Amino acid sequence: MTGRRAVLTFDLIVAAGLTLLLVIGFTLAARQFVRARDYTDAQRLLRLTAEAELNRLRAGLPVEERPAAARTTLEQRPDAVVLETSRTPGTGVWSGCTRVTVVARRQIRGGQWVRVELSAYLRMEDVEP
Amino acid sequence: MTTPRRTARAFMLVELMWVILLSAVFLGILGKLTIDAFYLLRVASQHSDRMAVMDSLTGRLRSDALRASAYRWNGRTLTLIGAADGPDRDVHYVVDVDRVRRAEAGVETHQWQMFRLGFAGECQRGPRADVLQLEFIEQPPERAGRLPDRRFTLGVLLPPAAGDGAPTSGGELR
Repeated sequence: MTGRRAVLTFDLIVAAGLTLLLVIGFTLAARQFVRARDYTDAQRLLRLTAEAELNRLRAGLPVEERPAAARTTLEQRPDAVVLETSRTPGTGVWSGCTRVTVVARRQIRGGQWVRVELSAYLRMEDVEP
Repeated sequence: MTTPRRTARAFMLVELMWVILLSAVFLGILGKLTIDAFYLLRVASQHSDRMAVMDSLTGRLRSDALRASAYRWNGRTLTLIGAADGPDRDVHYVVDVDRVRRAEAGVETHQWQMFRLGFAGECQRGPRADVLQLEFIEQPPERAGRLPDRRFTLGVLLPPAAGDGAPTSGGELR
């Protein structure tokens, strides 16, 4: 009888171990899946935000007059987008233009930062502050 | 007094009960995981569909804005003058809360709509050009608790605004 009990206990331990492995495997797979989706979504959001910012510069709109929609994305969220704009004078065939680089960053789950950088040559008067 | 045979039978019954109970627990855990996996895939699939709607609208709007010679915006309808081929060359985008419609020559050609996806448009006039800010608002799935809406803002550079007397060929959707 002791032998039977040992067999059953062993069976149960193996079953519990396999179930635990499945739970861990599923949890890891789900986390990776969600993180990958987060990363893709963040890239899409940052690309659109950076492009909108470049278009705003082209239009000569001041940065502080962003529409309410863009302000919500940029400021009022814990996972807000950080925008940085830098300007360098164009050289060679681009002299007379300014190379404007917009860097959009955002932190996703797990503390990872996603970064998208867009550059364009704009006329000097387009980008004067 | 119990005979050894009866004791053995009782032991077997108790063990059987344990096996059934633990099997039910393990099957329950695996069943919950399977249901969660299907739910996750369904949510991801719906999200992909929304992103596809967004990409399609973005591409079409950008292309029309590039071809247009002027625009008119009334707070809800964007008219891109000269963006289409043919005698009636205006393209109209009507931005509603739950959908965006595109009409050419008075005929609706596209409609972008998706469950839990909202739209909002705002036109900003700049010194050199105007920008249409089109916001896509994706609501969280039903079991997501208090997750905030996810917002994507598209900024499309528009052609010069049409004057009050600018010629348009009509056919605007109401």
